[in-house]
Amino acid sequence: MPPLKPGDKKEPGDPEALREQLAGKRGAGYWRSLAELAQADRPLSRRGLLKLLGASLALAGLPGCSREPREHLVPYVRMPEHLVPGRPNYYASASIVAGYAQGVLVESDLGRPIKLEGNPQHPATLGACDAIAQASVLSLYDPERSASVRHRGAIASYTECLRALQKRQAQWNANRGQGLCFVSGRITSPSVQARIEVLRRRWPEARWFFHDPVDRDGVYAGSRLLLGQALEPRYRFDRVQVALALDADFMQSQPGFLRYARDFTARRRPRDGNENLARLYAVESTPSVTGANADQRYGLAYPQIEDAARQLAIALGIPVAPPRQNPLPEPWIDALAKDLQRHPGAALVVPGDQQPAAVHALAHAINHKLDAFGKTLEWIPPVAFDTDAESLVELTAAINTGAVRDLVVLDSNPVYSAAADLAFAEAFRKVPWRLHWSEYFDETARLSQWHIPAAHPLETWADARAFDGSVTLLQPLIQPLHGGKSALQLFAALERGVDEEALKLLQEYWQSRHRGDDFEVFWRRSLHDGLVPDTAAGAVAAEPTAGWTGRLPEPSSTATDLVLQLRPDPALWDGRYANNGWLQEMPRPLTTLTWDNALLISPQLAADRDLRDGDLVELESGGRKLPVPVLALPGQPVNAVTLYLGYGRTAAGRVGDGVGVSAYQLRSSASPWAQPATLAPTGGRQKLALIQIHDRIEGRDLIRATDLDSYRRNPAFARHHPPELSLYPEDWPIKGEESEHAWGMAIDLSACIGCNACVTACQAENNIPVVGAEEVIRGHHMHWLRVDRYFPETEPQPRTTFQPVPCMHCENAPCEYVCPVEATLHSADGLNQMIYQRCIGTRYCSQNCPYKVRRFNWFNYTDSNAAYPAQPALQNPDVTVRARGVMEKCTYCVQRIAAARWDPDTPLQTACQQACPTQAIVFGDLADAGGELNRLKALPLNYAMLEELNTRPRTTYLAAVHNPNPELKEDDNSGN
Amino acid sequence: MPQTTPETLLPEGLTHTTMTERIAGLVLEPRARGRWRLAFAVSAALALMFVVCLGTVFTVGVGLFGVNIPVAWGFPIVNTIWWIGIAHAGTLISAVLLLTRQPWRAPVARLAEAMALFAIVCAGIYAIVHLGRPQFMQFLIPYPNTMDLWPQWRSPLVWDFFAISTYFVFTLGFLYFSLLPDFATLRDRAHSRGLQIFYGVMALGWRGSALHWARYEQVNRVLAAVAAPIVVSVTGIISLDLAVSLVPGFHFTIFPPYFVAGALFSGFATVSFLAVVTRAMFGLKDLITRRHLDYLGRMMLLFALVVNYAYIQEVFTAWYSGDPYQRAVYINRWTGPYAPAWWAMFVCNSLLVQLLWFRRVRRSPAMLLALAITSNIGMWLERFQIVFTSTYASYMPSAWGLSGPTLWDLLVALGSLGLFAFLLLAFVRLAPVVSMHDMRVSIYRAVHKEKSGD
Repeated sequence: MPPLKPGDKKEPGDPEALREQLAGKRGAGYWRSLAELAQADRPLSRRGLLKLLGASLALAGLPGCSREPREHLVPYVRMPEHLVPGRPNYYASASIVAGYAQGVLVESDLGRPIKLEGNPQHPATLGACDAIAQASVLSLYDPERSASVRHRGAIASYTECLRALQKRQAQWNANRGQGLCFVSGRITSPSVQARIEVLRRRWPEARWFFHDPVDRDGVYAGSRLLLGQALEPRYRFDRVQVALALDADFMQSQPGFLRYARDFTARRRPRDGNENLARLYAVESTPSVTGANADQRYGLAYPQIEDAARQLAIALGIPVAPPRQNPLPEPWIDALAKDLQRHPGAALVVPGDQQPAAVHALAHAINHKLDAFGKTLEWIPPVAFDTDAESLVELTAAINTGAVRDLVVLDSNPVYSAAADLAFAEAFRKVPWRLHWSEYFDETARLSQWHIPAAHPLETWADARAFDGSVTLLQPLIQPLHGGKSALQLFAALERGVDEEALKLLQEYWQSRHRGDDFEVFWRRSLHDGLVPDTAAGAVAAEPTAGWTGRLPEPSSTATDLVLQLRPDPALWDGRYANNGWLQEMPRPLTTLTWDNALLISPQLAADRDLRDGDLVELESGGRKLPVPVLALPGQPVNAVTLYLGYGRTAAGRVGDGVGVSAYQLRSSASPWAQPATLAPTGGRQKLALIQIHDRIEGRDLIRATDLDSYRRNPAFARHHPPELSLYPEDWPIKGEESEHAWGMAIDLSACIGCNACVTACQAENNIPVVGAEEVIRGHHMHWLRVDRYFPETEPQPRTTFQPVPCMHCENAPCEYVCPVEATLHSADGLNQMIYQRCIGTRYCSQNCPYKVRRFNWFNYTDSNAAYPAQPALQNPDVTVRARGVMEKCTYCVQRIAAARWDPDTPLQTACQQACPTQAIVFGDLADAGGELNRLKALPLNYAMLEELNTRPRTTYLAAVHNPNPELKEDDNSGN
Repeated sequence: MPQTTPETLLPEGLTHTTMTERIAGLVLEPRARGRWRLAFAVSAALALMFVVCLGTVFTVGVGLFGVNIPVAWGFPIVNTIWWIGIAHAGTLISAVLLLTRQPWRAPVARLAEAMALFAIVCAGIYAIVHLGRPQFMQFLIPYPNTMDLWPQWRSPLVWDFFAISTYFVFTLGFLYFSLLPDFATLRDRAHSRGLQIFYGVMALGWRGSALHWARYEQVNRVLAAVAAPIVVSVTGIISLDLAVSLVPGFHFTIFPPYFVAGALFSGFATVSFLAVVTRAMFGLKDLITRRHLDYLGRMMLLFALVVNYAYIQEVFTAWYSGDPYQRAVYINRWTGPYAPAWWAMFVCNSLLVQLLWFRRVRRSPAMLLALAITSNIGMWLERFQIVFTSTYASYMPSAWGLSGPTLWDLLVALGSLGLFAFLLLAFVRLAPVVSMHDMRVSIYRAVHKEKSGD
């Protein structure tokens, strides 16, 4: 407490006087470090300095006789139930990706969450796990997560913050919340929603704004236009026979994508005897995972997607205004319309989330025409809370008119991610009182007076809804590492100015909602299953309203030479995951680019402008300029360029700062997803951290694929290679060395969609280090599993193909006999094993590996001095952390095989297999004659890659069968 | 080999005394020549840099070199093979010329042997530092241990390890043995007590008795006879490091003889280089005559032709195999990103050496020096294109990737040249650069022939 001046009139003990004294002061006037004292406004006098020096000297000896830290170092007298050292426990929870819950099972090893798996019972994941959810466990241990409450950038205490809040609350109570504004990201939590309602009732004048850079406004606006109410579509891909994606990346980035990918791929792979494969058409503005998997694909710039939708609607007899120009060729649209019409009730048109309302309205009108409503498409009430909140545009306007006095920013980073034309950072500074709650001390936090750290979803109690509305309770796996607060705690603080327990708040809500017998039973069951029973939203009846076509906007006539399209990044999303090394280093699907966002341009544009990959151009749009390297991507429309959001952070942390350029700096709030642009070469160059440099397969027989017709004629088309006969037949297994098991793997190329979830899952499971952009450029990346992708060599293209390549575990392994020290050997059950302790690093094994699946520790990548040090608490204790100078590679998750030895009941899966949304990877035991693996390997589709080398790989592939429309076969179907 | 007469190989009026005085004087003169001192200082500095760079690589990581996946062997392995090639030729030249009793052997044999020894040192260092964990290189040795672990006998790298270490021991023995009589001469001619003791110890009590000479001749012949098969098999084993793998571009049965020819080519080139430099530096133009240079040039040409034959065979095999992966490697060599290396090699090893058909070129020290340098560059490029272009784009196009030398590669390469020069320069000040006892035989034969002829 600052000393009272002698001349002060008021009594020293008078509380009013004290409050006055404290107003605007930090804490009670104590200081915890000299630095903090130095920051105080009181200048340090000579006397003061001498006193401090003396005190420091006197106190210096104290630590020596300080007490032991208050920890309870008591060994377990009785072991807690279910806790066996060395055996992990699993807890159901959820990972929040773009606001939506992805049900997960969290693997906890002696109290440390170390890995996320999909929750097989959860409707959004069915046991799969996407890369972003997978990598969220790395963020949990991110040392750069915000670790304390801050006031004007200086560390403060939560109590101080609460006191400041109480003071504001008094004012809000007085004026019913006038001038109080909230900005939040997408919220799907029912309990938080209830809290918000309470706040709104209490301060009815307060305004609520919604800011998510990857908004889904078009979805709701479109359904309002067509159906008269804001509804959320839920697709039933398990019933779809023909689908059209209208710039919709439903396999990678729309809510429910894992489920959709699973459901749809199950109908598109022939391995289960299905000879009537579902067909996918895609018309898209940027090559995506979905488009790459389409049987027929056409590239169109973003504004033309609406024209295409109109064209199709007209072809199907829906009376809408025709587009100014038909973007799709006649035969294409005819074949598509016919195909859709042939499958009423089993056809589906999926509009992209980022497309405008008109496209959604048109697409769903087509769906209605195709009898999809209630069959392949169900309508549910919006899952997210925010569908009618105001946006950042209104907020900025309100700030600029001085109507905003207090601004509370909840888990959002508008200073970084607001559209450039809003000049939000300047506006934000004008708000007199600003509070920010987030996991990171980010760009917005730095401009706020108060910052409260948010707890990681694995640290606290919460709830969230999945794409279909079903609710998952999030349970903490660990105490908050940095004292973060959960959303519920924050709302309690906002409402009452108190710090409450997250569990209590969550239970309060669910108790109020629970209408059953025993709450405890309900609670425990919900926690155990990772799903609150009966919360999935029921389908709502919906019909197109009369006269909807009249409300449709006029067909646009904006014909620009070049359109700049913005897209959420497949790994960093809107930039919130920028400080996550796993995601930064995950090869982006299709480009295989890491650590950068290059401007994607079509190869033809590159040739026209004489641009090579990595050439810097100055991208200009709306009067703003941005230097950015280009990358030619086949399939990109020639009149459109694409830049991913989420890069160019300045306050993300050591990992994310300065990676790429921020596309928000060009974004306009009026047309956030596409805007006219020009580009001019600057002459500069930048190296791009690409994982795969060579894009063509060079006619090599590595991926075998055919279309449905030829597959029907010759199911064994992939076995065109004559069997290799040897004059010296070798026994396998070698006599006397037979084993109980023979591990093997089959990878279904019909099913692989190239999403790279398996790569990150492998990284998480196997303690694979992050090496950074410079090392990736040098060819030093460490992923044990890579997803090769090849672009078609000739136009018209068949399609982009993907091929996951882990270690083949060759029975006749070329790596083994060349190792001079026997550091890589074969196990009796068929694993090609690395013995790290024995490896001296000759790298001969890698030279001799035809599949190039081995990775070498060129430097000490896991050391605490490394550029991206590993987080020791996160490491899988069952997997060796490799030293510098040793070789490593895929082990078929040997630690799981070992664990399965004493726990034979749990199904044995490799990490990649478990994460795969489409079940493309099947691992198993060849000695189990009736097993799934043997069934797949017996299929005529099964083939071994490079079998002519007589390596006899245990990992084999099921050849891909595509289903292009025979009527379009001869036509150009690339669009470019 | 054309008939030669000793007269033209020896200067007029050279006697045992004058020859011994001149050669021993090079070692025993108290102050070294200025040129030597300058060269020694430079090479010592480079050798020091070599040590510092290797220390850095050892502490930071082998990733400092320009290596990656797929090019997991980069400059270190290129340089290992290059140095081994040079080393092999040294011994083989000396031994083969001895066995075939070539009269022009005497002045160049010592140089060749010393060169072999120091080149194998460089090669061995490179082979060790390219390891990820050189501190565990003893795992290559089949020593008894509690875990019953032995090396993998099927791995060519184990053969390689034994080949290089055998070869090092052999080269050291062969060189040292031939030095014994000369060390004795130096002992007897040394003026200072320290040098007398030093050379006395080094001479191992050589007294020049008839019995000593008889034993010397016997052992020398045996060693020379053993040398040829050792050299051929060691070079062959080095080539098996590559040929045993299934990497297209490595996997050729032609590799062992091809590598022996390549080693001899680069070896003769290096001997020519050293001969020209030594005779200029120490004023030995009358002892190492243009006639000697002529013979060295012929040998270079001979082996260049063999190497070129191997190139043709390699291409033919790749085409005839019908294997698309093998063929792709060759097309990549000619047209890919590393094509300049192949074409430069072609110019050095296939075109420029044709100049050696001309007698005037062979007898011109400057021309021979230039061709020796280009041939060694060409042979280095040959190894470069074998190691780099075979691996950067092998079976899986998805894994293709380039790798180029880093600053560390260049510094270490320069440093290894410095170390080689440092050792060689130190050697010529410690031991006679021309074998005195072999020269005495030559002079004796010349004089004897003169007398009997008259």
